[in-house]
Amino acid sequence: MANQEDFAQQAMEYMDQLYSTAMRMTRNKADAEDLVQEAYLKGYRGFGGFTEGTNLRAWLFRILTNTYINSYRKKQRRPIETDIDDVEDMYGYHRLGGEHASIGQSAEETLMEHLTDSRIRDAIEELPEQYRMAVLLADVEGFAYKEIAEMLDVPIGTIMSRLHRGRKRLQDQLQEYGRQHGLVDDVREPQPVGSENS
Amino acid sequence: MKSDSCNSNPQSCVLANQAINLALDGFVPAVQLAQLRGGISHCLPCVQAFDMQIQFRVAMAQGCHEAAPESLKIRISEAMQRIDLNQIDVTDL
Repeated sequence: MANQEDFAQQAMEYMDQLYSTAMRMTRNKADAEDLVQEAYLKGYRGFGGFTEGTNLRAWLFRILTNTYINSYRKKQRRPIETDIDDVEDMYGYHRLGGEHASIGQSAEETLMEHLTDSRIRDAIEELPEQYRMAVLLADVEGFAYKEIAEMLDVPIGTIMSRLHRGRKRLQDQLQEYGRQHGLVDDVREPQPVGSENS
Repeated sequence: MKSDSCNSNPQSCVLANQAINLALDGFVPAVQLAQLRGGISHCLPCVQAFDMQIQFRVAMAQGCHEAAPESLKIRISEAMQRIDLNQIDVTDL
């Protein structure tokens, strides 16, 4: 059992990571700050129940995501998109890295070189919420699929499906940005892979 | 060894897809990444797809990093000192 007095010393080092994720979740600074503060206070309150030696970072992210899901997203102006299809379909999302043989590696590298941090953040924030949460936790914060499944309390197959679709959408958005800015060739629109319908 | 399902197309290459999924699952050590990449080295497009996914992930992680404002750190520290813990809802733990 963890000592509540140790919470600040152990947990504060994760604040930048939690804040970055909160910014992408809420899409605004004021809500992100409030969300992080609420998550920390809940963590402080509940730290006695945290098992020392387990993953404090994952525990804090779980509190953050649950607080966001249960409280903050109700305040969001944009409606939650409900086009989630949990069909297990992990393959074929590697569009940027191979689906378009006609784009060529050099064009993709050019696109990567021109993507600004701001453009990447905007693209992530434009993702539907469930995709965005999965992409943030997996690809930005580096949590394992299993950890994310536990955090969000959904099956691991659902997480992989959301990740697949979120990554694909993200890469589609960035490809489109590249086309608009002449960074990649204006090629044919590819056919959806597998059972894609998003 | 070349996989029968590959045909130099990462989209249909089971090995490439498995390697990419494993590579993107959590923080994978560099040694393991090299092993996964080596397992698909027979197929140049698959290796390129693999490399691009890793590069893309790095770009996302770097692009999304933001330091929390100092004012927030102070605010939270102060709040922890004065808050009545019994007032905090713990249902999200």
